[in-house]
Amino acid sequence: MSKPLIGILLGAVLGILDGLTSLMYPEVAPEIMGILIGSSIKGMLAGIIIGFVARKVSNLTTMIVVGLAVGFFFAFIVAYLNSMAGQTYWLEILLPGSLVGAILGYATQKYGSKPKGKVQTT
Amino acid sequence: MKVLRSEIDSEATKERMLREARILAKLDHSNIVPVYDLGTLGEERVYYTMKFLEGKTLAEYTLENTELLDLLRVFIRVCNAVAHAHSKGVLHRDIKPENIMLLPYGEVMVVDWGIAKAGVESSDEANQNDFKFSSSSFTTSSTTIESTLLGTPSYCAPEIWKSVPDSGTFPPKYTISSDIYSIGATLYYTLTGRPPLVANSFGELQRLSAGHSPPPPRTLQQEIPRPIEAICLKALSASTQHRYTNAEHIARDLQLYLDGYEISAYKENMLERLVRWTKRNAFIVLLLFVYVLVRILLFFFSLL
Repeated sequence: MSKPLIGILLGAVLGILDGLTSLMYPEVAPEIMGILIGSSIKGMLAGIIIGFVARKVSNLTTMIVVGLAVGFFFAFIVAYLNSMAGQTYWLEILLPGSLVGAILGYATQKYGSKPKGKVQTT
Repeated sequence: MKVLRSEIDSEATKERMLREARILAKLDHSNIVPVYDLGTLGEERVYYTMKFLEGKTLAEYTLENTELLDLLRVFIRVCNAVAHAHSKGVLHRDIKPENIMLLPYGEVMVVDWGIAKAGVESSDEANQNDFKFSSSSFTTSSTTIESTLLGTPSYCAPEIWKSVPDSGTFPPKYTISSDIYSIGATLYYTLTGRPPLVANSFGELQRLSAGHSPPPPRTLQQEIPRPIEAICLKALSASTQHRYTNAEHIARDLQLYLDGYEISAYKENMLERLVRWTKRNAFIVLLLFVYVLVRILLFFFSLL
């Protein structure tokens, strides 16, 4: 399985699980479907980007940092949009979102195959 | 340079030395010492030149180094060297800790191919010439019995022991499986610091071998992991059918263990599988743990 595909699949699963944790806050329960859809799309987008980076990078620490950064970036967008809508869940979105990114960075580095190099003919 | 001493310059020793040189010349492996030249000096004294090895035997190394993972890495290379020899039709026939050298820069060499045999499917006549068995020649568990039974008693497979002259199955037929047993016995020594069967006399060792019940390594060293014990006991199986069929398979199982994967010789339960998976994926488990912790902390902070 390719690294971007692992990123997409794992990103979707972790995104849904991350979204489900919002049920810890009863006030957002009515919006759970929207949260789950948004969270899984966020996970898939982060996963595909991290997966493509993992194809080029062969360093676990670097990939965890890249994952953290990408996860933080998407979480920031979601948190910002939420704040625009009058909801302030900065830490609740940024911290877990970044950690999900780090997990994606680790998983895409450790698992999945890199594309085989092209043989150049002269 | 290895030169036959004039006082032991018999046809048999000359033949043994020539055989060792010829066999080594057939083997091209990083864990088998290469032969550079072979010839005769004055008075027909045989010589051959090879790389000078300065280091410790596995027996000495085991006494000083008890780090299991190091020992297993060494052992994988031993298995690979023996597997290479087998693939070239060569049986070592005397694998033991004293015949494995560890060099200062981490190289591992399987040495003493003096009683090795080329052509795994050799004729019975050839075997007859090789095995002249004498029970009076027993010396110690680590000494090769010269000119009699080939091999070292404590590391010999039970089927070899069954082939004593009065058993009606003489001469013994060495096979890849008997080398596998010796690898198992050597691994046993590496793990426990003693050979699988210990006796004070040749006869006692012969009796023990007939019953063949080496104590499981964990009864001597409890910290030995169960999968490693299983690998050792599979290689030491009394029945050749239950042994590994190839030294490479032992190396593969050892490497799988080192890499944190399930091995063929040991069926683990769910808990062992979970522990192994957690060890292999320690970092991702840590990240998930941190994630859950963060979620719980954030939830409690939100209640304040």
